[in-house]
Amino acid sequence: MLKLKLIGDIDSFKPGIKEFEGELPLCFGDDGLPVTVEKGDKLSVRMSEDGGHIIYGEKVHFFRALSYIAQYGTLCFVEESSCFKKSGIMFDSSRNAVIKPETLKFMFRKMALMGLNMGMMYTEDTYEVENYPYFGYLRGAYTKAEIKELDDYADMLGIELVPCIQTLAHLECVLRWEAMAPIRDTARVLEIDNEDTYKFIAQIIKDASEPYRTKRIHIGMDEAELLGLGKYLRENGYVPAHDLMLKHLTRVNEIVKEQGLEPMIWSDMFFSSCSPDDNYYDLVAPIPQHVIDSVPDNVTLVYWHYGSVDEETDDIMIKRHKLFKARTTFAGGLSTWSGMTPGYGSAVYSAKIALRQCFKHGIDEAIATAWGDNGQECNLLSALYGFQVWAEMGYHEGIFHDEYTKSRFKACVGVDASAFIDISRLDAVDGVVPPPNFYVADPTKYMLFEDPMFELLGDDNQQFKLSPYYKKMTALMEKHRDENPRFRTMFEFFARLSAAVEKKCIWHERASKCIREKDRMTAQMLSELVPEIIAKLKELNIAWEAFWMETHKPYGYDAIEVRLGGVMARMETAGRHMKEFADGIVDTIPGLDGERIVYKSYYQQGHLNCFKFWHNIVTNGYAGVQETF
Amino acid sequence: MLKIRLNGDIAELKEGLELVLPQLNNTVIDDSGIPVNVKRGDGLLVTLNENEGSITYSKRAEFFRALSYIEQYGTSCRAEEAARLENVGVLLDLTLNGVMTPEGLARYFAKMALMGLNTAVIKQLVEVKEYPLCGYLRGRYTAEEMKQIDDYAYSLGIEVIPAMDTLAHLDRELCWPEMGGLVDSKGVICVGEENTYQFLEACLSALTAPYRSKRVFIGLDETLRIGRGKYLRKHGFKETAEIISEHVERLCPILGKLGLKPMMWSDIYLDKPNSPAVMSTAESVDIMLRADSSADTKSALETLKKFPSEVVYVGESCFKYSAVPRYDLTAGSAASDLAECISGGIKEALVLMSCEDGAEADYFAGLYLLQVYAEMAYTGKADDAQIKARFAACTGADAEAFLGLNEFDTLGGVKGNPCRLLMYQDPIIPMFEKDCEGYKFSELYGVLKTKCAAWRRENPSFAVMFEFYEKLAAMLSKKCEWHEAAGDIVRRRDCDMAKELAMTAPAIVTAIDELRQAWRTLWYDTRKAAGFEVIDVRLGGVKLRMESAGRRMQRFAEGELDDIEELSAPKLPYATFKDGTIGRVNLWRDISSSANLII
Repeated sequence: MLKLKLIGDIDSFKPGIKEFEGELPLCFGDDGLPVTVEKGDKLSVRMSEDGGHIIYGEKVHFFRALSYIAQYGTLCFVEESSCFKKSGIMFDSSRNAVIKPETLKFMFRKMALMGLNMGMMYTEDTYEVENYPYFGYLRGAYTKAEIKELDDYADMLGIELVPCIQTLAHLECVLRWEAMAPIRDTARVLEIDNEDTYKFIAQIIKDASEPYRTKRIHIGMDEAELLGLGKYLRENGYVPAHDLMLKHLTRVNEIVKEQGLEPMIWSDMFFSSCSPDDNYYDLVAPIPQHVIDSVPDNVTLVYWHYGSVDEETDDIMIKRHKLFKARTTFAGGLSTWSGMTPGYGSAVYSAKIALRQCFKHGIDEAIATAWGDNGQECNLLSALYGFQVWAEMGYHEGIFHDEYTKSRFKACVGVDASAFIDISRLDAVDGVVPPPNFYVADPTKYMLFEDPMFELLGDDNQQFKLSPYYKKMTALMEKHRDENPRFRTMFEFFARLSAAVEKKCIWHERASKCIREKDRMTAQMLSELVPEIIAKLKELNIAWEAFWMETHKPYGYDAIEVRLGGVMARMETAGRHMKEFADGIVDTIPGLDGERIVYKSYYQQGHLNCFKFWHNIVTNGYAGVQETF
Repeated sequence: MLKIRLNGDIAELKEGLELVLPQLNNTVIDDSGIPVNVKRGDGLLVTLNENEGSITYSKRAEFFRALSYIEQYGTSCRAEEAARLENVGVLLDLTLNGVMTPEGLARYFAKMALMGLNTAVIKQLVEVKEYPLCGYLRGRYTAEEMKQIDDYAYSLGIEVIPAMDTLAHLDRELCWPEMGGLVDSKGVICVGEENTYQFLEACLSALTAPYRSKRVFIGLDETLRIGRGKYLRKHGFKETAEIISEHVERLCPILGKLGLKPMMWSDIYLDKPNSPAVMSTAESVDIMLRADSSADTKSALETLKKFPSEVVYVGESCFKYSAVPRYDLTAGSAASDLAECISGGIKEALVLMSCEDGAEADYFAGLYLLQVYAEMAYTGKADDAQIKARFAACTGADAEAFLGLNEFDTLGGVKGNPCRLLMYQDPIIPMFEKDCEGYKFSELYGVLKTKCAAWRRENPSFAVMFEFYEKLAAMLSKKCEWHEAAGDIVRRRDCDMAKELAMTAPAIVTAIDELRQAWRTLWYDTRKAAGFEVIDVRLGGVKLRMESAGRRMQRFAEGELDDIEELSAPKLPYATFKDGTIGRVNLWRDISSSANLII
């Protein structure tokens, strides 16, 4: 363990250093190797057997410097700067999983070591707001005190924490309550031109920004479905959505300015409005001058693109953004929104393209979003390697260096990157899903939840069998669990997930076949398999709950538990049918007989697909989630 | 056992009799029976004494109604009726997850026929060769099944009018990627596009070909999303009524080719009665007036008089998103509406049988409402005692038992929907805790459970159905005990009570599963298996949550956890009416979770 004696103006670093006790192979004391610490204009670390010299351009560089010393010891010789003034992670605490403060602190520490200096807290309704008691009700909302503590912690590490809220749409969790009906346009969108709405917005902006030291605030404003077509239409007649959005933005911006804040918004509204197909990524539609003039001077535009596949799109889109006077920043993604695993393949693939374009065009702020669509089945902790990827590209002009990034991860997190990357192999099935799993196939999810009688998505004619693969992956996850005690709960979850999917796949590989072929013996085997599947699902629930509760507030786990309980009930019903078939009491099982249609999705990649939504997996009927009756 | 022998014009009645006779408790056909002379005539006339009898009927359904009078009065039977409505019956929605099998429908039709009901508009899922994903794995009907259904109905004098949505509510059809080109906005097909009418023609053709009827119901209620997606981008904003009129105009040639007269909802006619497009549309359709508690039937009928169309009254369903038949909300208003219709010259009336958000209700539980319609149609009166007596004859069951099921929501003098709220309320995040303060639902459902057991014993032909309700009451009773105790135990940090409470969890879990199994038995009794997966999943979800609740309560009792945050958190009212009684929340996704299930 290398011991350092830090010399220089280091009082402001002391609290942060203390937090790393036990997490870095470094310790500090007067009898350590003398290392001077000095403010400069970039990050520089030079070490020798006699001592060292750290120069930091900003606070977070100091912590990144520590990670370099941990990595290279007295051989350390690094000089670098980030091409991004701000680079960081957006935490989604709105898709049911509110990340526990302790877990966020852990992530902030890792971010600091990686040199990421920005965190955005995406909270649609999960923050404390006065005068609206149903706002964030039973959602595990952060209190102001919690956020203040997090902001202080982040600041100590050189990280700017920024609130990221919604001020127009994506407010279904708030608008579902009767008390909020007066400001509802539709189930998900606030009513424009309504004074109560602006009173509400003034309150949430105030309460959202209050606990943070930053004056910056992301106020959302991405495309609002059915904007102006609900209550607003009945009360006012038709006004085009884009006109309404501009009107609303102007009002909200006034509120923001009154409160002395600096707003950022998603940029799509300005581009979609110019496109005849309402397409944000329309590369040819002209942008009229009046649209350019309509963006208020003080607003920052956030260009978001999570699935970069070619250079041209980002190149042209950034150029289109530069037509506006406003500053443009970039938001990419960590592919945490498709099933239970982080899509490392696709996240890296897209980041390589997008960040390089950002560098080329001088975009100086880039955030990696971690949306948790459909219930946050993918825990952000499992995407930790993605943080490193994002960070290192910033320090290397948007270029990705594979081996280098992995060795950096070992230094910053103390774990082999391959353990984390292996997690995504649960979905990016070796030999079946072509790397980089660009279309984020998520067979783990849909094989877990697919109905045992009404099999919508699986294809039992496919040449490969998934059950042996998941058996292999279970062993792999268990190995990682045993070798990485710090992430024990996480790998145990993936091991139990894989084990449950393995058994379930056996059912799906054999069930309809044995009905077609009147194979009563296999039917008997399958009916005996059912209790095993249910047992594995129970084990999965215990492991998932443990992982959730370790990293999230408890609210929201119920959505996942209901899904697991649902599969168990279906297995029991299907098992009954299968037993009756095995015993010759019936000659068929509804759903498993009859002609099958292999699901053709948008993704043309071959065998396995991406099915993000639980309610489209478990039935072709009405699950009661998205429909409006 | 009353034995009768039918003579006369009975050849065409043979098949219907085969379906109806097994449903009669008191009457059998036998060569040694009292001779009953059957003939066609005007209206319904039935007489029977110890020596002889006669049945005169003007429509086949009246013959079977006459049989129900014989069933009711035996050898002191005399009834003479002139129906005040030409057509009376049901609008059955079998697209909401619950698909009745042809045999199940046959049993339902038999009950309808005994009541004298002669029309069944049936919204259904059918096989469409060109679009194999429509109704895929949802239990859709094959052409053979549809023919079978039509034959059953025809034999009983019932006209089956097939139905489908042709604009909105096509969520399940349009959600597949290969159907993406047809989409206007979510669940809505795009008006004015060639491929739209290709699709609808294929569907309408498949839907109507096997049925004798020359009529078809094409939906067309006004919804939020019509014309608000691709259509809006292409054509700009248009009023919904205009878009629907445009759509009907495009559909007319297709319907003409198929030789069909369409029926559609009254929404656009009540919304924009003076619009030229709407007025022109009215020339080609029959109008289905959808009645509900918020609308004024009398003034609606007034407005619709200005159109040349036949107006069909459609009364509201007694099932409000749940298995509880709300006769309290529908029977009385149906009677008064029907009186209004009859005096207003309306000739056709249907009662809607639908249960959205999971088809949780078995339609047989709504039979009492059908009886109300039948008695109003044939006698012009809806006298309680009369209806109950008729019900006994037509269904072989006690009306009090059916009316009693209403109590699942109205127990304790409430008017909301506590049954569904408490069934799905999460055991660890009880959102209705505040709303339930002051009620002892555990006791109230306990009492109801005993009643259900009695109803089950006394009505053996509905044993499977009452068994379901009994298990429902049992589950609610036990689950409510947990709900009534859990929050406060955790707030008070009462570890002894927590231990006791944790020990009750396994019994609740068992009760939930017994309900699920009884429900499955009921479902499989008259429905195809497809669609039940949604109920399985919902109850399986509650069951696992209950298990985990017990587990966490145990850990709390043992001091391993010093709080169960979701239970100790103070609760706000969620479903409370202004008068302070427990209110309504309709949808499972809103009842079962505070989480975001949509995105």
